[in-house]
Amino acid sequence: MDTGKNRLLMWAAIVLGFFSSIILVRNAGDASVFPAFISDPFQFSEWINQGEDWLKKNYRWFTRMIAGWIETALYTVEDFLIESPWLLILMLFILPSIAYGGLPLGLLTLVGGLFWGGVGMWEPTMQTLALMGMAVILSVFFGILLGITSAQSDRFESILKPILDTMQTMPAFVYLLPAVFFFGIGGPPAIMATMIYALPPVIRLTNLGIRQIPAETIEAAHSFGANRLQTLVKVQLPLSLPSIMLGINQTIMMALGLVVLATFIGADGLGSEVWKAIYKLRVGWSLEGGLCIVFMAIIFDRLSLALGRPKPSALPANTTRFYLLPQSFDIYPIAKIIERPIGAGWNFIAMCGQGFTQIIAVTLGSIVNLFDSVRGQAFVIGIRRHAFLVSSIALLLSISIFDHFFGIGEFLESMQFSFREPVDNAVAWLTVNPAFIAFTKGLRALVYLYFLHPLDVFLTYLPWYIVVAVLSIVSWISVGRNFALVCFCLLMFIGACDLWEQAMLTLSSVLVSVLICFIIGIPLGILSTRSKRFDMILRPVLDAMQTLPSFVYLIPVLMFFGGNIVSAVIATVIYALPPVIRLTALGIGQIPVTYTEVSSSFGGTTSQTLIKVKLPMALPSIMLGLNQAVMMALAMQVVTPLIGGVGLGREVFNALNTSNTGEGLAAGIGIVLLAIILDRLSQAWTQTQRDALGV
Amino acid sequence: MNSSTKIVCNNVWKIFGPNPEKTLAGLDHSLSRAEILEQTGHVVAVRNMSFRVEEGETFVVMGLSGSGKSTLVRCLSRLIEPTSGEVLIDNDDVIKMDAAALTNLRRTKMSMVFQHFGLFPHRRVVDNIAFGLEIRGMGKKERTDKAMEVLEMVGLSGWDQHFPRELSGGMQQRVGLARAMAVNPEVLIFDEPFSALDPLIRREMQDELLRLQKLVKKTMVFITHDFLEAIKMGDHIAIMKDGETSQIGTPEELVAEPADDYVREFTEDVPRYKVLSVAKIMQPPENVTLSDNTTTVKPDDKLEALIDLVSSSNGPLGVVDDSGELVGEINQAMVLKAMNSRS
Ligand SMILES: Nc1ncnc2c1ncn2[C@@H]1O[C@H](COP(=O)(O)OP(=O)(O)OP(=O)(O)O)[C@@H](O)[C@H]1O
Ligand SMILES: [Mg+2]
Repeated sequence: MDTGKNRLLMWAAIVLGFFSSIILVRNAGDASVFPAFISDPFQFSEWINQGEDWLKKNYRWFTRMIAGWIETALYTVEDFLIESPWLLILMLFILPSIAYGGLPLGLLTLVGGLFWGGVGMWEPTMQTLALMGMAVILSVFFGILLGITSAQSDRFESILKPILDTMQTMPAFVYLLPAVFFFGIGGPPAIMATMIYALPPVIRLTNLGIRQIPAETIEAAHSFGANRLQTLVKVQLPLSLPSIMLGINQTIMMALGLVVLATFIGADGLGSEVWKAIYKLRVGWSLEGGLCIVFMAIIFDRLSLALGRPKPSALPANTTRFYLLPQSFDIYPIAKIIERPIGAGWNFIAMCGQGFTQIIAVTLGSIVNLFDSVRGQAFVIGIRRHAFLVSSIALLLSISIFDHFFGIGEFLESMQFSFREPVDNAVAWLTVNPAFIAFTKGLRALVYLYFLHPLDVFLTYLPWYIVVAVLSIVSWISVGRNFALVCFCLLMFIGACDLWEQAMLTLSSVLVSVLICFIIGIPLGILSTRSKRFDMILRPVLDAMQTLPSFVYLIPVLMFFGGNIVSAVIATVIYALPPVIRLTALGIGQIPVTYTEVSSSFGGTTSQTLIKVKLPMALPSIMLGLNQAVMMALAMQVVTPLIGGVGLGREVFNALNTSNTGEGLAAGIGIVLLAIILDRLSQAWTQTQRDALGV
Repeated sequence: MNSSTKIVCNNVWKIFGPNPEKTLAGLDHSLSRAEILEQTGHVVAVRNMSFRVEEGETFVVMGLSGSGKSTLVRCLSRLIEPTSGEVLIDNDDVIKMDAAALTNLRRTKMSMVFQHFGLFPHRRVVDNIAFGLEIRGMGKKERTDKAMEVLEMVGLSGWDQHFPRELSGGMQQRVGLARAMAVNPEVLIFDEPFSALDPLIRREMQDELLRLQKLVKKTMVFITHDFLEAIKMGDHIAIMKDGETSQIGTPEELVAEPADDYVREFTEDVPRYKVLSVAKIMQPPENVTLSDNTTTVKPDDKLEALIDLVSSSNGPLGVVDDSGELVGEINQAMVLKAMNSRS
């Protein structure tokens, strides 16, 4: 807003709004309740349900058909994964892990696989894997196609970009609702929703990868007479592969996050194990399921990153190659001692593999030689070069053959271990431990009495029109008049859907969670810029936290705090904390040392430098952290009802449980609308801070 | 020690690397900086520097990029901790100070002007200038008043409510200068203050600083890699190479008697008539005597001022000091020869 004229308009709007709301209130009675004469005729959820019925009646054959295809494919994959001998499937993952990520990743995959089988979750794991795999394959297929198209056409890119931007601000579960609307419940809608949800990163990074190829390279290809398709396949795609792989990595992680959530719409797998367990308050069980998800997230994250990374370059001749430990450890003698037998073993296996490949190559080569001696030669060389692949295939084949004659069957009973009972016992013990009770009670009371309750009361008892007016005015000042209007309409829509109170509860738990995130996160972020060691410990923890699906965070919270509103806030805080810490640390770390030096040259103490120089200069970054934390906190709202969360999330949750698409959609839209408002506002603040710093 | 000596540096060393103390203890002093780096992996940024700065003078440290100038001046207020050596300011050993004394020193005695200005982008000009006062705990009203006063001194009144990015480079450095002067320090340290400015603005700023220096008479330590700037600004100049002093002297001493080829190379571009004075080139009086009609000059006259005089007179000129005594003579040939830098 620039001039006095704008300000005048703003005041006019406020006054007008105030008077009209007084009139509304006189008709409605209680001011904190949204007036019934607006919300009664506006039966949004009814309309949706009617629409769904109509759709079912008229187009059921169509959606059924698509769902049918997907279902068939899904069952085929699922059957393969579940019916095949577990050892075969495990090797299918371990071998590429070793090939691309070396021994450490191979070991991680092995441990993960044994864990899945060990706790008796092999089958749900495979179900989740099948869902995720299907969704990822579809996503990657369509994503690369769209990515290529948008790299070729600026027009297409400019249309696609805002859509992708919007998609990425939507909380994951939002995708589940329309999927239910069109495809009903079960695996197929879960796959459709996941596919669409996980699409943006592949599109973006394919587009980016192709576009950042230097024009000269393309010209060179053209100068050799390559046509468009040849250029694409032989030059552009190979060169953008690292970028595409990064996109696939993000897609996989997003897909996993939603696939476990899709248990809400009736998809099987690990998510549903955890859900059942939480529902029955069986902490040990849910912990096992949660850890399975954690393993899956970490394995697939590392594996897909490794696939896109160039192979490590050769080492200098005089250093021993490390297979298990990081190469940087070779200053420690103990590391060398550990590595020696591993290296020897590795070399032995490699030798066997090469020998075996040699035999295969010569045998097959001599057969080909009978027909064409030149080809035969090339064939032998080609096979020899792929010793790892050949040996792997041989290994997999022999496992299958062994299984055929002797039967490997199910995961061995003797290898199973379950720690449900001990965990349950420990939790049971903990929950009667007076010191622990005192601690959790204290924490609960603190959060509830000083943060949550006051804000809840404040927001739900505040006359609705004041909330609408304040948010609209804030939007006006921070973003502009148009957005203020949008904000007003969105809030009115929430009210008209009869969701006002729930929306306020959601708002207050989001705000409280984010506030606590900042109270905890900013000091941690500052600490990590001050202490290298702390940073080294924190970094992998945050990395791990950011790869985990939101679902998993419920488990420890449930374990220690039980199910109630405060637990919901605690889970949200844990989930939304990493970006706050990261971006605080990043913002402070980015400040050029000159400024710190200036401050100390004037005799500024450490805390003066922090307060007067570093924090203000890190503000844009911290604001970005606010934005991300708010969005993550909102996304968490649909998950927290499992452990006692309230508000719009609970409405969505209940509606999904009772298959009331209309109500679910209305509440879901409510959350999305809040997300839009809070996102725009916090982005505008970030921008203001940026402008203030001139960056 | 002379009572008016402000800063004394004795054998200051600064070595960067994982284990500076050990490296210094086992150092082979005959090795060059590059050799030390190769053998020990440590960078000797400042190597056994000793010098003294008198009160009220401008002491220039000049050297090429990477010669250790910035490191050296940061050792003065321990923004960088020297590896060994002694730094005395007003006879107090800075190295031995505890944290509180050091903070006090930085708050009251010295302040610094930075190469890339180092103005805080989130503070308005006036708040940038008041920064040092704010750190000291001065009240808002008082420090703002003081800042406005200094702002006027550097010729920027009216710009107080702007942000640094809205100012040109020269104006920004004026703000930097004002910020350093606002705390009214006894010592001002300049780390290549003008090297980010274009030549015309640089000249303007040099003149401005000389003007201010006449006004406030502070002790200044001034860093530059520009020899012309050094001789313009400095009362004494230390030439640094690879962390060591090549030579310390007045501009004239450097120009007239460069200690080595490294120094000589800098002096070659210098208009010598602006630096050399009569005392440097005169000979003992042989051909002149003091009579009423002999034209005389003073020993500390620069050659620049005599050019007209010398070129219009045929015979030698007498050199007479303040007490009226004849101390030497110069002639045309001597002046011309002195102006040839390859002599
Ligand atoms: N923190 C540091 N760690 C390691 N080496 C450093 C560090 N700071 C400076 N050096 C090295 O010390 C040497 C002197 O650096 P210094 O910045 O003092 O040079 P300078 O004369 O100010 O150069 P310039 O004109 O480029 O500012 C350089 O070789 C530099 O690489
Ligand atoms: Mg420097």
